[in-house]
Amino acid sequence: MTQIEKNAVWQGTLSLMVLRTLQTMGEQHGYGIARRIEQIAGGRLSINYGTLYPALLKLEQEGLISSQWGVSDNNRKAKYYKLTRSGRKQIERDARQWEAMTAIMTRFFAPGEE
Amino acid sequence: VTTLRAWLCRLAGQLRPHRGERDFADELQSHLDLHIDDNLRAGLTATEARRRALLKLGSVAAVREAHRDQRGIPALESVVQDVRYAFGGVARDRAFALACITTLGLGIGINTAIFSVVNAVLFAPLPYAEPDRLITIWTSHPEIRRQANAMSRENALDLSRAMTTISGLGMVQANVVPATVPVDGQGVVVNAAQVTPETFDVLGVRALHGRTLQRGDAPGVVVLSYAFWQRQFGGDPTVVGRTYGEGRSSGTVVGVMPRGFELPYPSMLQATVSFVGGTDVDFWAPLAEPRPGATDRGARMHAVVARLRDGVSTEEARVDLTNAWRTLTETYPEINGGWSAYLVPLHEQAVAPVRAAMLLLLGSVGVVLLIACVNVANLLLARGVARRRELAMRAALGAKRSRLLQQVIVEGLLLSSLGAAVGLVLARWATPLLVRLAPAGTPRLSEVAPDSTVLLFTMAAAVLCGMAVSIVPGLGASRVSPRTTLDSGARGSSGGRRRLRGALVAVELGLAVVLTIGAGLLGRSFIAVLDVDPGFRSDHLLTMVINVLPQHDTAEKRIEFYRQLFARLESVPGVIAAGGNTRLPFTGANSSTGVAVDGRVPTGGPWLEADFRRAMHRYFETMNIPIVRGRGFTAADRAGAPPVVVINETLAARLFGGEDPIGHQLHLGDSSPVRLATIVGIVGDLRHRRPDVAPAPEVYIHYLQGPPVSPLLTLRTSGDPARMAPAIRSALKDVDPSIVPSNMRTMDELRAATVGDRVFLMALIALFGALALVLAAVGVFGVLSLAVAERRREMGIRLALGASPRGLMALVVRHALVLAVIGAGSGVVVALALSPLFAGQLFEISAADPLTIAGVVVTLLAVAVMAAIAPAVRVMRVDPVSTLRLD
Repeated sequence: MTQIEKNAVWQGTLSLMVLRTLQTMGEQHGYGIARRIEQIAGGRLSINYGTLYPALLKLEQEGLISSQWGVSDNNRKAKYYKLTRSGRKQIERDARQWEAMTAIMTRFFAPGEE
Repeated sequence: VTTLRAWLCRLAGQLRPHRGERDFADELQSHLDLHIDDNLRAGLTATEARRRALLKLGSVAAVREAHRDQRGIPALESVVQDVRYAFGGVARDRAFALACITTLGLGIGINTAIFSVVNAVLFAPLPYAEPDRLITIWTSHPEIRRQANAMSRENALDLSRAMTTISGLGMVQANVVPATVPVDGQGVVVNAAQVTPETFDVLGVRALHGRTLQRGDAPGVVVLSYAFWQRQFGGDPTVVGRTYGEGRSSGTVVGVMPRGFELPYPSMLQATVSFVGGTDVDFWAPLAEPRPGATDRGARMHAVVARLRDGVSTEEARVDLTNAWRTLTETYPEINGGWSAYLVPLHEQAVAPVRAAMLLLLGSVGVVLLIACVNVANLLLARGVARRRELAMRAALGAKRSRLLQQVIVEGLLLSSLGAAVGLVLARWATPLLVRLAPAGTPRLSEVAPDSTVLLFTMAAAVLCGMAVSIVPGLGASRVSPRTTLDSGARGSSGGRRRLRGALVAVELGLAVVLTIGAGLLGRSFIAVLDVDPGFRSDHLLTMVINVLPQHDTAEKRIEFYRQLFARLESVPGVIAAGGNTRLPFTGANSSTGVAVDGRVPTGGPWLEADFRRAMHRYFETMNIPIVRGRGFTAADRAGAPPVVVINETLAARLFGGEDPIGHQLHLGDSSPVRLATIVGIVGDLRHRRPDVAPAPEVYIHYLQGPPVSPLLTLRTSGDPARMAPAIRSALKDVDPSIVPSNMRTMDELRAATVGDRVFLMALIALFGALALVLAAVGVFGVLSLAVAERRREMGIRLALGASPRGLMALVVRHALVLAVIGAGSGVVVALALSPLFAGQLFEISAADPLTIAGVVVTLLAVAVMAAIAPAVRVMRVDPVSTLRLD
């Protein structure tokens, strides 16, 4: 498993993962988001679930997601997050950028073309 | 937008820390519950389920901390902490805080007060529409030494038609005439300015109530000034429309001008017949229309104010004016030949006479504030020593350098903000006092008010002071080395620190020297001005203005009236002699005329200009003006007798050199009613304008050899002239009950008023110099006291080893003297370098006056030694045994 350093790139990436998760799953609580991210990463990524919460707060402060207390399937009180309208726009923009950027970075690291 | 929103959220979060904290605790709990539920479902034991959930979550403390940082603004949080800490410090160490706040409050307070005045007088734009487009136009004739001369109505009107760069032109009579008007049945003496109605349009001002003047207004129509309206009518708006008086001296009030409307400015007046300080205009009346057919192109009596067209530069207007004026000189060479016209921006015209003094005051208070800051910085530095261990401890526990610096700066800012609060209170009290004490004739004083600019200045001063006082101690604090400080148990400060404090005190002393030298030079100039012999004896003289009564409408009636008047005045017990003049010295009134000796009239060229006087009755005798040659006027010199003149020594020398002028015929210009007269006498020079302005050439005619005038009377008394006023009033009433004397003042009062600007400047700079010395003395005292306290052990050891207490005392005093000598030396150098700035304010003294400099240096050394006495005595009392036992 590749160790991922928790730097600025990681912060941006994590935010994007959260937004994407909410886009596909709809309304979800923090624990659910964390589980989902790990699931998608297919065991290649192990995160401390705690690190998710400051990221969620930041997204909420930026107005990309909103939160509300609700009740879970098994009757637990939980705080649910969902995308706002500007969050939905943001993820479209971010996805395009991400694709463009990964394409460029892939070319950079492509073996021996010189 | 998202970023801004995020910051706002965080700011809000910062303000309500507890709410977010609770909410997040709930959220974490719910997270754990959900995770544990899942783990239980996967078949783990309760303990294991909980353990794994916690493990997966990571460090709860770290998560909480990260979340808290994201909720609020950590940097702000640390500042809030520092502010709380600083408040705690202020509350704990009251004496220290009080010293700092008082010092800074005093400094910021006087700076705010002076800035309020300087800002309103000098910096603020004039209270008119687009004031930077307003200009004044003047004429000059260097050959006859005429500068900033007023303009005739005809010339001004021609200019307004010819100049394409101006959109409007107004005229103000360049003398403000006191008049007696009936208000509520009583005669009130007022200053009336005569203006053209266009003047108000040019300035772009409207009346506060009613209207301004209009074309076609009757001569009696007046617009009141705000101050006069308040004073005389208690601010009653129904005064608009009211009529006053009857017959020829009647009229209507049509409006009231807003506060701050001031025109003409004192610098726009020349031949005012008002007394010093009486140039505040009470109302504006229409400029008298010229008599039909009269050509008054040579009557240069109007100050001209004009508005530049939008987008026109002053330079373009200058060119335009020069061209238009050239046409006027070519068309009327006999009147305008030799004269040139130039423009001055109105703001410049209004404030130029007081600019140097105002800037000098601002600079001086700035120096006082600087000294106050140095003192507080020194106090903080000294206290920093006591807190070294605390700072070292915090550094050892991981506080960053910048964090320690930030704490000291926050503390400095808190102190300076509290100081600024004290300063604002002080300024509120001091600013009106300054306005009251400001010399007569200072423009725009009515505009002085605590406005947002002043508040901004105070806030800026507070921030700058806060930074200034904390930057040196702060850098020191952030460089504390935890190991050495905590190890050594040191109580004292290093040599470097002590030297730094010494250097700061030397700077303070140097600044105090600069101010004190300035004060000393101004003081000596003032004494020199007081010592000036004005050419007459100003003591025991009473002066007043009386009105000419309309019933004395023939020369015979007037001669009889004056005969009675002077006979009655001289019969009052205590009156030695009575006389008068149309222009008394020190009253601000002046007029002049061209003169030329018969047979030597310059062809084509200009005549020499001489100040023109009409002496009444026993004027020379009353004033004690010596008759140097020939004779004064006698009763035989009256209407119908051969015209005679008396000239002063300066004019005699200019016209005749060493030759005897007596018996020569003198031509006088068209402003004199007598055009050719025999010179019968020469009198001594006198300083007419102010004691510090050299005498000008003067020519006197006899008052009965010309048309009637409103005379300024002067009486020589045997006792206190001020006490004679009631007797004189009743004597005047005996002559005619309708005579209303006004502006009754002693000549010494008038003389004192001419140096009002000097007194104001000198008194304030002396006050600031004294403050600077006291602050510097406190600084010396503080540094020496601290040095003694820190070196107690060393002193104890020295004493134990046999040093004499006297020797130690000398050591302390020597320390003070070294600081004083360094300060005095640098201060003198700086003062000499700055001398061009205040050379214009000095009188008969050089800016490098050795006596003043020596006096200041001696004073400074004395102050330093005095400040050293208490610490020195403390050194003598050091008990070696007890000091060495400490620890």
